[in-house]
Amino acid sequence: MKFTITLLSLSSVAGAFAENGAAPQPKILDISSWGSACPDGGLNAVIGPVDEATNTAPLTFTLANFLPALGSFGSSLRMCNIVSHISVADGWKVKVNARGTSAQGNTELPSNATMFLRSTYFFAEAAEIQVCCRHSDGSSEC
Amino acid sequence: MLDVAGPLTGPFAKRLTPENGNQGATGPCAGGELDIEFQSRAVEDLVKRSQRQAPNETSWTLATDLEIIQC
Repeated sequence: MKFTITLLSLSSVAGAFAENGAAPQPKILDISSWGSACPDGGLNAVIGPVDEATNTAPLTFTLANFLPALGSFGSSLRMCNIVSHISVADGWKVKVNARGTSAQGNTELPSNATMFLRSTYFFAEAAEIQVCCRHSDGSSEC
Repeated sequence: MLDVAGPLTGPFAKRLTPENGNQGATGPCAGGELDIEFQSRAVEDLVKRSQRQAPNETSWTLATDLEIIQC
């Protein structure tokens, strides 16, 4: 009897979950990065709590060296490449950057300069890996 | 993509809007590998070079959102 009640409780919880369409919390399972804008230890990435009204969660990155400071060269480029694994419960998927990206930081740019900011996101659903091996006798196999 | 002409001093905040027709990138069911590139660039007119002090705070925050949808 107790077992039946437990099952009923679980099924009603699941039913309520499906009925109100509450979205599960996505997670970052792993992340790696490289580039001048995010030196070692210079990237922080956080997924905030899901807003139940919009089924969206904020995804925020802090890059330690993103400021394009002009030096004596007259131009500056900062880049950060990130590879992450986003996980969400079975039966759900995520869409990123449907409404754009907000950028915030300090700047110091003279009147004769222009700053360009760009963000690019894509999901890699299929990757092709090619490996070449060169042996000590000079032969190789790919 | 966002282009901003100087002069700019101190705190800066702007939204990079998706390009025309871009509705965001949708991943596979249960998630997957998300690749991201952030780029900032500053270019100065070399004819009118000026002396200046770069700010000490080089950290920036970039924020977007994840929409969670059913498969």
